[in-house]
Amino acid sequence: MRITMLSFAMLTAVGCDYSGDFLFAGAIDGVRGVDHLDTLTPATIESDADIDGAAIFGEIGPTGTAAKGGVTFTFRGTGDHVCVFVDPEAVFWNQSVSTRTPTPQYAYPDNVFDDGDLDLYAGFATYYNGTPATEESGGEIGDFRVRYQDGLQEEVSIALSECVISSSIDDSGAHAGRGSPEYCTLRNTQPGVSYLVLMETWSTPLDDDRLGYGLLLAHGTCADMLNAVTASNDECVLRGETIDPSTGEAYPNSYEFEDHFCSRAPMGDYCEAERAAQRGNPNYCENQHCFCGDPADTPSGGSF
Amino acid sequence: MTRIALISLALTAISGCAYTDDIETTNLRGKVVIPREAATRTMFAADGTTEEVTDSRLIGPVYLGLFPSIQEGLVEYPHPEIGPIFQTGVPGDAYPYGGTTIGDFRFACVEFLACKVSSGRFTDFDDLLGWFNTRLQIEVNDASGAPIETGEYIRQTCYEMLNYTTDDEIRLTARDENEDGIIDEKDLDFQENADGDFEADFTIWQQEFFKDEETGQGFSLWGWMDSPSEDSFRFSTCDQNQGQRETEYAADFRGGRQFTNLLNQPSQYIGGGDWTVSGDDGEGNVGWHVYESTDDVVVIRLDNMVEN
Repeated sequence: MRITMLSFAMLTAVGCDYSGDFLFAGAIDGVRGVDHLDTLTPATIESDADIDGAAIFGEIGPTGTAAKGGVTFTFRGTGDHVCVFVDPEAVFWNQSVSTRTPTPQYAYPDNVFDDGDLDLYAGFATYYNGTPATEESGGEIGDFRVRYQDGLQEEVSIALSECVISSSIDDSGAHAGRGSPEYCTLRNTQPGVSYLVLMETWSTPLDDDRLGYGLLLAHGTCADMLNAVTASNDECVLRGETIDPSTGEAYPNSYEFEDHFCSRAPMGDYCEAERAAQRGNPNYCENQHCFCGDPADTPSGGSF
Repeated sequence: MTRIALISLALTAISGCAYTDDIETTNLRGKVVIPREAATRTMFAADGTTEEVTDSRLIGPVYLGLFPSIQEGLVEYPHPEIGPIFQTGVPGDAYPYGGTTIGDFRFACVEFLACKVSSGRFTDFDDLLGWFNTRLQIEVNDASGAPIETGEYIRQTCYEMLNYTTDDEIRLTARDENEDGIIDEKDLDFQENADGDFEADFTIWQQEFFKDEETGQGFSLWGWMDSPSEDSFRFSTCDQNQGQRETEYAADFRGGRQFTNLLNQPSQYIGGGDWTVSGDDGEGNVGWHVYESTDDVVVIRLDNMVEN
């Protein structure tokens, strides 16, 4: 009975632990939960040919706790506009399940387990209240909120991120969804002044918790950059953000996959071929990355 | 014995894990008084002569906000304290704790009336049309430019555009607020009091109370009344580029709505002819109310006309 009581007391004690760490994915060996890329220099992007030389690829993982994770870097203001563009792994689409007005391009299901999401924030480095360093150097993710105390000694949090992303329902504060690129223009940056960019980890892929990303820091506005390249949509500006942990390079088949997505051809064409390859080689998805979902998971009318 | 001990332990553990947010909210109620002068203007009579008219329909939307403190000297009228200024030419944010309005801009269904009509000022659509056509002698036109001659036309236009079937849904004209079975002047927001001024009740719903723990001084209630412009009767606190959009047939307009930062940067919207609270009268009496507790009986007078 004494053991029962002790066990009960220990269980209740554990139940009162509100840190919430157990709700989050564990840290991944070899992938930082908090990373810092030091100081970057904006590139000049005037055509597709400039993309490869300017792109930076990396991986970020969970912190292993409830603490926020993400990637930071700094750059010096140029006196002009600067564009920050980040494309998290991989490509995401909502499967078209309508029987009356289907969208053939997206009729095949996406692999929903390989997508992650990074949220962009940026502004004067002096307003950033985190510690921009790698996690082994004590890095901690913060935000661009300045705490101001009003006349009644109440704390007011003032958001000073200059990365303004608008949506159809909000003039600012919007973010792109899972797997989708996100970008913003820092307007009229002050020359020589240090700016900091935060790519906060909103979610990591469910399959391996390693989130690859591609990053561009470019002179001018993002609209200028997107006009200068031939990408059919934002997802097609950067290719190769799905990184093979064993090589540190993009999965070879990821280029083919993204090319197919960007061609606007039905994803089923690519996905059927991927499925056929799996039938011929049960280990296919262990050696290559499989980007498509399972048609058996397609919801039917009245189901979730 | 063991069973009792276990139950006690379980109860203790459960109570130990209880969570309370410690946020106490209450409905703050009070009264706003608008001086008679604020509801008085010189107008043309039907025979072309001028006359002085006092009418509660001259009272625009009233904005009330709760702020850390109110200061004099920031602008020409008492103004809430402001936070840091980050951009040249943009006033600092007053960071209100909460607030409310007495009168809102509602979709008035014809472009001509956009940003010119506050709720709680008109008993019905005939009253609304008569105010403009007859009293102000500003002709109300429909989408084709033809004059509107009956209030029923505005009502039916609203029903058509909004797919509504009752005036209550439109929320532009009065409801039977006093529940006496008829809708008349007694159901409007502002009522004339014994002094000849106009007063209205206000409620700030579910407000959290803030006070300085050292001095015990609570937040301050401050406000102003947006007077309609002399020429067009338009309100400066209304954003003509927002609100419901109507694009059917000849109509292409937005109904207007309040700017979203009225309590954050009020000085951007307060101008000549508007009425605010008064400053110190020299004897330590100020027009705004500093709360000591949420039980305060609050009467706030907007008796300071802004000159410029």
